[in-house]
Amino acid sequence: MANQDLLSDQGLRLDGRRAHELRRIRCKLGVFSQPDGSAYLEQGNTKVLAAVYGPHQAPGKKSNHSEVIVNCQYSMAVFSTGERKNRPRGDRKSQEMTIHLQQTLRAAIKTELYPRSQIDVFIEVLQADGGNYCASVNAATLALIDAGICLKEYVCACTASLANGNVPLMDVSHLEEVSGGATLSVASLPSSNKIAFMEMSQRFHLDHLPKVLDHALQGCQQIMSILDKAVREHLALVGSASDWGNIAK
Amino acid sequence: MGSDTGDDAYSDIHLRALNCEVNPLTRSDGSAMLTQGETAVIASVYGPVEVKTQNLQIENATLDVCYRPKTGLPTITDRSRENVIKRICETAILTALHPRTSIVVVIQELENRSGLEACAVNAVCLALLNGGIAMKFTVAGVHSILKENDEIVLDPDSKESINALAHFTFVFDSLQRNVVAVNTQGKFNMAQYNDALTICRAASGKIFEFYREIISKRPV
Amino acid sequence: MKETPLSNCEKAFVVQAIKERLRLDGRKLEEFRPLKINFGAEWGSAHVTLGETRVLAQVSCELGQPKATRPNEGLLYINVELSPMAALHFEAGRNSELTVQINRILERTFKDSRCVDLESLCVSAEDKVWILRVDLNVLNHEGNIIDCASVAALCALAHFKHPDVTVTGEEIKIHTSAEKDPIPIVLHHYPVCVSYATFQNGEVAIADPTVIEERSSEANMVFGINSYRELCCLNLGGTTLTSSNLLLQCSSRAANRAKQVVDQIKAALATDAEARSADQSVGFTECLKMNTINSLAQDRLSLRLRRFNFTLDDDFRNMSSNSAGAPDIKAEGDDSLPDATRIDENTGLLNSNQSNVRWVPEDSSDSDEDEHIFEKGDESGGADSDDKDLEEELENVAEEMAYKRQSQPISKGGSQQPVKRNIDNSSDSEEETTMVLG
Repeated sequence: MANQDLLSDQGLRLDGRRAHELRRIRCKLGVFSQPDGSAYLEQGNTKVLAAVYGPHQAPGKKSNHSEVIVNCQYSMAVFSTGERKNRPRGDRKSQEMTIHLQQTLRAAIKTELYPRSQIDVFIEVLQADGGNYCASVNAATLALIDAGICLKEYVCACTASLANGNVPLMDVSHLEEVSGGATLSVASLPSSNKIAFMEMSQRFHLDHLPKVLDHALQGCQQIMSILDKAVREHLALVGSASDWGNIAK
Repeated sequence: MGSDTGDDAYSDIHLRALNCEVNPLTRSDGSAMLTQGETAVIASVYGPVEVKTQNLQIENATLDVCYRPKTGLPTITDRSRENVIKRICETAILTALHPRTSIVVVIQELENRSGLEACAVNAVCLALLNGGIAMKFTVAGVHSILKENDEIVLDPDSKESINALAHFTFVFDSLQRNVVAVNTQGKFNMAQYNDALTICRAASGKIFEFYREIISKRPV
Repeated sequence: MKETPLSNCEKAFVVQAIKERLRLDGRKLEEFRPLKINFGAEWGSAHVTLGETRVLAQVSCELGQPKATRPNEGLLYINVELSPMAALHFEAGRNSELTVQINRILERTFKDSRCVDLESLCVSAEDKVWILRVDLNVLNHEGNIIDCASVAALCALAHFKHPDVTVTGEEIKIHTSAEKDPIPIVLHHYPVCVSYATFQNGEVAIADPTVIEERSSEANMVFGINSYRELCCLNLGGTTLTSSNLLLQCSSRAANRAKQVVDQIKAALATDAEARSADQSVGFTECLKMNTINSLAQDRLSLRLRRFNFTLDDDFRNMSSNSAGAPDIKAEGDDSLPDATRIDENTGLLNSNQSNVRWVPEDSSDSDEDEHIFEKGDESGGADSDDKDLEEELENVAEEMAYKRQSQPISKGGSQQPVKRNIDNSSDSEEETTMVLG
């Protein structure tokens, strides 16, 4: 298998990272003024925009008297992949992604606080370079925070893979995804160490699952601290006039 | 139960072995799985249930028939089968008893080894009986073919029907043995058609007998 | 049609029952429903039932152009169809959320794990390859469609044979099965899906959930796993969260289950091949119970008590005096509410019945659970003065009547009718037969 090339003898990956290193994450909250909340997130070369509208009144048919409806739309820009995409959304993979995002966010949002309401989350992948699901979840978390929607805690997602048959890799890129082994995507609530969503494709032996899963969860922890820092900085910036920066610390 | 037990009147009539399981499905109100030789069909009935407003009829129940092929999306042929069965059901069911409701019939093809339409009609009829839908009469579908030597073969299997000149599928009612639906394919003359009709009509008795036998059984 | 909503009390009942390690259909938490596999007369056609969930699978093939990115590989499409036959709220030909999810899980299990050797489906590179299509029709939805569908898809793929072809220059000739034997598909490994539903804040996982369990569960876990314990697909999602511990436990249990299922599939394939080589008739006729009516059939009721026998017992008096006038119909082991009201109801019932019908545990190996039941009996019995009157009455009745020992498992959902019927059979006097339970 091509797995052999994923990690060099020196322990470096194709893009020069070590096995347990994340790609650089850069993020910004409140990038748009029209939606209630928005965020932009870069994870390596994967770039994602998220916008949140709501909570607003749910349409009569869907309205649920006990909890909020989380409505997601995942779409990939036609220029996001190497070959131009014909359909930005609506194919099976995007539909699946929409369902997965919805499940994840529903697990993180305090749904019981907004009965008979609806929250819309729109995700646009501008550039796809592996870990689209994870970048989308992380961006959506920031956008939800920006919109002031109550979350149980940060929900973070990270991928992990297996190189050389036994070394787990954290946060795989597109190149590693296609040339290598299985990819495990995990969305977790890192503080309470619970898994909100998990998905895997391709195959590896069950014995490797614990350590790959562990790596992914560690990745989530690290992502959480990055997101937390970004949120604090954003708040300090927004509230600089009223000296929020000192309170946030 | 084989086809060779029966009245003296029908003793020279040979249908393929009929086998059926009534109510194999738990979700539907009535269902039947019927095999005629190697041809197998499963049919289920829901009803009377809530109707979509666009299909609502004030005086009658709306029939909603859905035929599912084994592979791929439904083709034109499947839609036409759907339509034929819908008309047969409309004739047989007392739709006036349940106005502003709908009766849903779903047919799933399991195996097509000739005589599929006839088998489907019979399966639907058993499912309707099982579902307790009030009917004016029961219906029986019989398939026959015209061979090159001018011979009519009743209920052929897939090997026999390869070189058929024409296919006939008749559906009869149980009261007068009148024809409820006819479907033919191929070239034939009136005399041949009448022959086929007579043979099939005689054979329909066997099927009605089979219904009676099945329904009179006690649940296990 | 909208799906019938699940009432809060149904949901609470299921959740409470799971808390007490009980399931409505009498299974243990890790127990799966029986799996039955039948093959049709055609190649690549399989009918699989898991409990009452039924799926029909058919593989078909045609020659077509390969994808430009992989010019020497055949294509595999998987398509799950939920028609109204499975349940009324499904619409034919519409992509619901559930359809998409099932489709994608199966695609990941079979396509992404490279279970089918697609290179062997190539006829001429960049021009003609076999395109396989697996059509899965769900016939009955009684929960866990995904497991049933994955087994059906695997059976159909393993059973399928595509026609042989000869390539002479530009021309491709497809041989009929009479000219040349069709060729089976090469499968590298046999993956199946195994599902669990979690309850109690992700602490308990139950195997092979039914519809009602699926709908009242917090999260669902699906493992696509093959007989070599390799994970091919994993899907976890729901409204609440699971700790990684439970997940790892379940995954290893799922691997064991997968091995069993694959063994069963192989056995079924071998039986089918044997029947075909012996020229016996094959087809779906065998998968129907011959000419039977199943309506109202007792063994199909989805609710049943697992550990209880319904008996008419002649040494009943000893038992009841020992346990100080314990209520005589004891179904509380299965009852999710361990309070006394329910038991009183039962005794009240019994007063009017004047019959010594009694629930006794069927499975005495389950020792701690039995204790549980007797404890409850003691608690409720001692204080009640009505019980003493009742006891006397019952003693009289017991002396008068000669009882047959009956042991017959009974289903809870139908407990009213069967109870009545059993009394009918075994008691001599008219009065006892006209009892009404509940």
